[in-house]
Amino acid sequence: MREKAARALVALAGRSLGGGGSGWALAMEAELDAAAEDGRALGFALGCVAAAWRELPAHEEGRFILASNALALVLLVPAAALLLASVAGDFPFSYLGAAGGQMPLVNDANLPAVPPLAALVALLAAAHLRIAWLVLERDWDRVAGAAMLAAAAAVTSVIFTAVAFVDCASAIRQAGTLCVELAAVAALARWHGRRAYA
Amino acid sequence: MLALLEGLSERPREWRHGYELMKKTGLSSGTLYPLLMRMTEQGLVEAEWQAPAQPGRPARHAYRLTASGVALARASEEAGRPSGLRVSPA
Repeated sequence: MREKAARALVALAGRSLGGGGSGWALAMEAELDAAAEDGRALGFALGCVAAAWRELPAHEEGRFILASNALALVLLVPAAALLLASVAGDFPFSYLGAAGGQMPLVNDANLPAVPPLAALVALLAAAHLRIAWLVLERDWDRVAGAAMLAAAAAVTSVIFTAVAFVDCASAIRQAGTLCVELAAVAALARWHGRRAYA
Repeated sequence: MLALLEGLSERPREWRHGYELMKKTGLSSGTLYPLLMRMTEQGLVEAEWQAPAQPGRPARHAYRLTASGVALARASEEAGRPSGLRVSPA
């Protein structure tokens, strides 16, 4: 079990070293047997992962890996979490009032619009998570599809909140944030396309 | 880096495997491999693939100092000695 985990960790280190470091990845893998004979396979493998991660900023593929992880984990996943938190909280006030303006007017006339708006915001959050996952997978065709879905949900929420709640500031801010996120994703896809990493 | 230079310079023409170097120098794999990568890039260490000692095992990467690496190891050894023991030109 420990040796299997060690082999998986050394494979992870090899992936992190990228194409340019494939020789070093094989060198680490070949030493694993010697470490395992001493009962130190796991410690050796953890060290290999640390070595590979320390090397990430030193080569372009490593910098690409760091940038795509940062985009997914620092921008897209927190954005999805904030959207989901607003749906789980005092919706629609948690969402519409987030822009800092007047609290939205919710009455008998527009109350039925709240569940569809919550579904739209949840869809936008799900699209964020899907984009984050696909960015890490480097599946740019599917990223484009998920980005279209997110853009459609964002535009619909702007129109929907403007008509139903006469206040679309939060939805516009959300759409603006999405534009920035998608521009960053497009820049990452262009970077990947120029270098065509495996 | 000094520990690795010292470890490799003991028998400078001898090829050594990564795990053997770890045991000899006390460095972890997380420290040893980045050092080997840098020193190979800088031409201080050379590496070659060696056929496995046992069938079914993968080929192993072995390392030794280049001439520049040996010179650097000697220079650092000289610099590390107490001044009274330093070899001075006649």
